[in-house]
Amino acid sequence: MQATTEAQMIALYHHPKTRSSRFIFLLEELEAPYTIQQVSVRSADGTGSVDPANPHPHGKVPAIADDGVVVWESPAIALYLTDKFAKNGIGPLVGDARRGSYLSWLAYYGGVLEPAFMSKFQNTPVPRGTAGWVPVEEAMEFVIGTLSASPYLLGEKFSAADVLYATTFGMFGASPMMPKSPAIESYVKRCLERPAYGRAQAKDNG
Amino acid sequence: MLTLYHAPRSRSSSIVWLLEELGEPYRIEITPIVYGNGQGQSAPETYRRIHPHKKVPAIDHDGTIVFECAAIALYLADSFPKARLAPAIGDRRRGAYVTWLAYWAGVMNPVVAARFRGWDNDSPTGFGDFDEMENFMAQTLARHPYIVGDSFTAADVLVGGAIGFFSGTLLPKREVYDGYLERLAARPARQRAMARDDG
Repeated sequence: MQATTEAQMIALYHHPKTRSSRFIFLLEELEAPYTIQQVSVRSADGTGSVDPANPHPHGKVPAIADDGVVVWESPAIALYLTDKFAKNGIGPLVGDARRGSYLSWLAYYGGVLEPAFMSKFQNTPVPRGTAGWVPVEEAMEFVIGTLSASPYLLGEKFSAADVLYATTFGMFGASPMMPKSPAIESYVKRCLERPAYGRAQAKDNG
Repeated sequence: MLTLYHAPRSRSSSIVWLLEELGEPYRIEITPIVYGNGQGQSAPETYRRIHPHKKVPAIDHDGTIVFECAAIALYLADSFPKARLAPAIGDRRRGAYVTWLAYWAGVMNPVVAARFRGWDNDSPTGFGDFDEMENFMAQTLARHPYIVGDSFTAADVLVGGAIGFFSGTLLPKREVYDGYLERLAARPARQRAMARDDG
């Protein structure tokens, strides 16, 4: 068997306990060859600084590099990786009946859910029409409705969309921003019980 | 069958453009929405089957429902590769392509909304820094004629649409934007889309 060369490895630009942690989880699910490049980031509290080794244009994490091809923004990284490492079926491919739903949930994460939580956090309104997102209560009602009807966002099967949502809900946990919901609690437990998540946690500090 | 749920002069207008670029037959289902100025009324409750928040755009392709502009762009360009609106999976430009679509949804949109509403008067919001975003866009367009490289992609429909909408108001005047917008405005599909916007 041929050894994996560095050029064939996905480089994950990572900072412990941030939004990049979830991509260790996804890379473990995909059984993809990867290396973790730990970088410093500028934190919201003003500590830390942008790392020149990080290819992200704003010095944030996560970002990945695939033989020089740089990808950032969580939904983009998730889609790029599941399209490239298709064998574990974590992301429906082009032509799969669930592809539309998969893309919708990925885009909804970046375009609606994250801004909705941020609006709530910084206490700014969400004007309908101006904002492409909705108040977090409305977004969570949709998510909870979906997860009350099926174990995962796309139905019966776990996908990379669940990596984004379950880790977000797991991180917010008991935050007052999160509505109390048995459907969400059991969803987070179901996703984070996966062996890949355990392996990822063990690697989070590099 | 391909159906677009659309409201004239809204975010779904970009998708009319995208569909014209695609060249596949489609129909427009005019859908009531509440506009940013409070005008209009929301769609009937039955529309929630198509869009969870009764917004536009959404598409129905032979029973597959897709919503969120970035998702619709990815879905359509990959489903109809003949139109060459997306670098194929495995193409080295694919990374920048998926990144720009996600960046448009997750960074550009909220950062521009924050500037429009004055939420960032005192300091950048948690959505991101407007100047950092704007500089990055301008630098990218200074390097190549389209947002992903030398050829037009579905990402230009969204990024170019946003730049066109805010050019000269929220966005500073820049030659790179003017040249980019001229290239986009010259596209026949763009002109056909404007004529079809009212349904």
